[in-house]
Amino acid sequence: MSELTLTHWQELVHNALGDTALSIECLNGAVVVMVDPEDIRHAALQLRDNPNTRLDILSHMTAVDYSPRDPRFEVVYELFSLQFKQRARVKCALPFDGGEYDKPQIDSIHDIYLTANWHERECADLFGIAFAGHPDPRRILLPDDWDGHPLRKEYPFDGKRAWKLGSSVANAGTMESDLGL
Amino acid sequence: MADFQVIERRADNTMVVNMGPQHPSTHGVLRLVLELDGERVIKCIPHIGYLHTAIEKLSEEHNYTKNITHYCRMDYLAPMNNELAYCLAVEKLIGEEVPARASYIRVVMHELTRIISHLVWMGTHVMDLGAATALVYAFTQREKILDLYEMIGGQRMMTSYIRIGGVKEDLPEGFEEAVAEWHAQFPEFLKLMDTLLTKNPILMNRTIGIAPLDRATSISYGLVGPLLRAVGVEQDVRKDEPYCRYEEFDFDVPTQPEGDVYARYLVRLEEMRQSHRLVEQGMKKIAETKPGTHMWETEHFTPPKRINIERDIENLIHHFKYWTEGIKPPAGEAYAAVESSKGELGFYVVSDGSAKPVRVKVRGPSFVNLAALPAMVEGGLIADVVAAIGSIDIVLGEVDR
Amino acid sequence: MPDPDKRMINAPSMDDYRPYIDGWRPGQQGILMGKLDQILRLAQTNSLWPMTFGLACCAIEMMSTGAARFDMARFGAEVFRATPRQADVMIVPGRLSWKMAPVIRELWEQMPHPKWCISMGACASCGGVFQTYSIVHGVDQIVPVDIYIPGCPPRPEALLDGLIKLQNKIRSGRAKNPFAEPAGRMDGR
Repeated sequence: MSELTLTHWQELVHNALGDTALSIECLNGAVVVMVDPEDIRHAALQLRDNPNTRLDILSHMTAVDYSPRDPRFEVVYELFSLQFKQRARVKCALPFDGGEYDKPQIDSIHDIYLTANWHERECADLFGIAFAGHPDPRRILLPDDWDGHPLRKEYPFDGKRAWKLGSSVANAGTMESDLGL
Repeated sequence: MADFQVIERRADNTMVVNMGPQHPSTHGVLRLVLELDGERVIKCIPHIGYLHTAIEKLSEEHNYTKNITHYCRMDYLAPMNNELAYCLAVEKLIGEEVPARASYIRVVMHELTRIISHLVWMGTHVMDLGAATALVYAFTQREKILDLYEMIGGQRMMTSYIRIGGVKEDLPEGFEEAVAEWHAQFPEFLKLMDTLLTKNPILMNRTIGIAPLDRATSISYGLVGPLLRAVGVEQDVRKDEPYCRYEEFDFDVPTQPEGDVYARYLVRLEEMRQSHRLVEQGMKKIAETKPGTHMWETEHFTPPKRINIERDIENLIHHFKYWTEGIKPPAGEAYAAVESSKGELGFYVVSDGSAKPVRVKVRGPSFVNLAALPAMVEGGLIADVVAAIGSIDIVLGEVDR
Repeated sequence: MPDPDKRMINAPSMDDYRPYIDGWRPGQQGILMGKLDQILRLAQTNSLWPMTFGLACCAIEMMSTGAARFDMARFGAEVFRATPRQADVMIVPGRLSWKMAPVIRELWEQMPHPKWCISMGACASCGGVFQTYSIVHGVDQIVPVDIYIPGCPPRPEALLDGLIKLQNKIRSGRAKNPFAEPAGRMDGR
């Protein structure tokens, strides 16, 4: 078990980041820090190398689509410290008003945490977020020639399906056409 | 489709070989493209996504209780682990405490799940290395635990037994005796496998020094779980961030310093022994709690008891809304992790106050562990790729989600 | 969208295979060939060797069925052949994704005739629990299926029941023509 209390840990994380942290709070037992997308590399290096926080494991990294809210995307990094046995969550708000094939940009941290390589590929695949400096920006979970980014809110969960008997132009690709409604 | 590449022979006599999605040793639909110089692997590129089921997208369509059924099918070798991690995350969002009896039942099922997962790992891993009988032995033992699953959850694998707020039903009659019966004969089985395998010269030759990883690379790759314990780091989510009252239990965390395939084998074997200890402690603790307290008693997040539904219109309305619309946790976000048999299995749940989650992100340990495979096998022989894949213990449902 | 009439240019048509197709129905052959055919079908029935093709959770139940408690070997499925060239029946256990679909079609084409297919579980039969963009809602869109086994996952006894039904189907001579096309919609995506 960790010897540090949550408030003490929150202080240590805040001190490690200094001005880079736009806001820091405690949500449901976790320390959550908001950071500007341009500062993510600096923040990650600070948190990893600072001897008071030592957040050396990137547990996972993901994105959330908050539409219709602006900023639309939020990239979330969950960090864990083996030494202090505490977690910290770093979030970057990415504003985005582009279309289906446009991509918001953020820096890649694949050289700071080696595990970020695959996580960033997954975000790029499912959300369409471009990670600047990533060595291998191929799709990872979907076929290479897939059209679109499924985890965006406007993508239908049952897919953009081709025509089927009894469907019409109006309800193509929806569940109603499947049920014959 | 771009993924179809069979064999390419180059001018400097190196080959590119495809270890395809259908392969007896890849433990699922994993595709590896290997660049070989003779028998030595120069480069290894894993291609995943052949089992991508869009579970995270589907979670945004279904309410919180329905989502539990999706997650059993993710890491299908250890179904209750997934349910547990998800329910812990949603309970963090709601902010109420789960009663003691439910926690202890969850601990017992969690440890039994760890054992069945390790049994499949042991059977398939050792079968890949040549000992085909180990599979049958492991599966026979697994059937005994699946009988317990069937008794408690009604189904051999995907039980959806662990629910938000506790467990679905109290323990059935005869469960304590059945667990005691299993508990009595399990050490003998472990001793048998130990005798057959641990000092076996063929196993030792095929696993010692194979696919090694050092501490710094393991940490940078985010490997937590048996892979990290096999490089000497004493890390266990149950000890570092205890859940389900694990701080009241007494168990050890096995570690090995070498970091090769044999070390991972020893770590998992010892983990099975520790799980066996925990099951006994769990059953004792369950016996001390009050029967019937298997689900929390909150105002909005508890399914009403049937007797109350028949008495009261409020309970009937609540019952109707609970099962059709679903529960509505307060807006916010939460991350909860459990020590699954493969590593740290975590769920990051974002809620906006409605009945369906905004986002459910699954931190699947196999996805993270598989990224380290190229670092393990490059420079080794092609036959060691098989040993390395088995030692990571991947399950593709979790990798691809 | 693929046009059903222009699928393969050099493919033989159904008329070329009429003698073989009609010959499969019992009573259509003479006494000698009919008896030989019956013995052949009996041999095929009792030694159906499946291919190791595990997709998802149902694969674990398939492994349990092959293990000691339920033992598929006593029904003739003695060994699981890893290579499709030596397998008779392809059991599709688990959810098929669109990324995997060309692979399963290629494996089916690599299996030599006579061959059969069992679709095990709800996901393989119709998409199951996962009605999403990346899952094929029923493998019969990709390969012709002889037996569908419901369940999520089906118990090992259910898989054995499906296997026995396939055996009955083969023995009686009613098994689907091996040159048949997939039963489901060919709408792709």
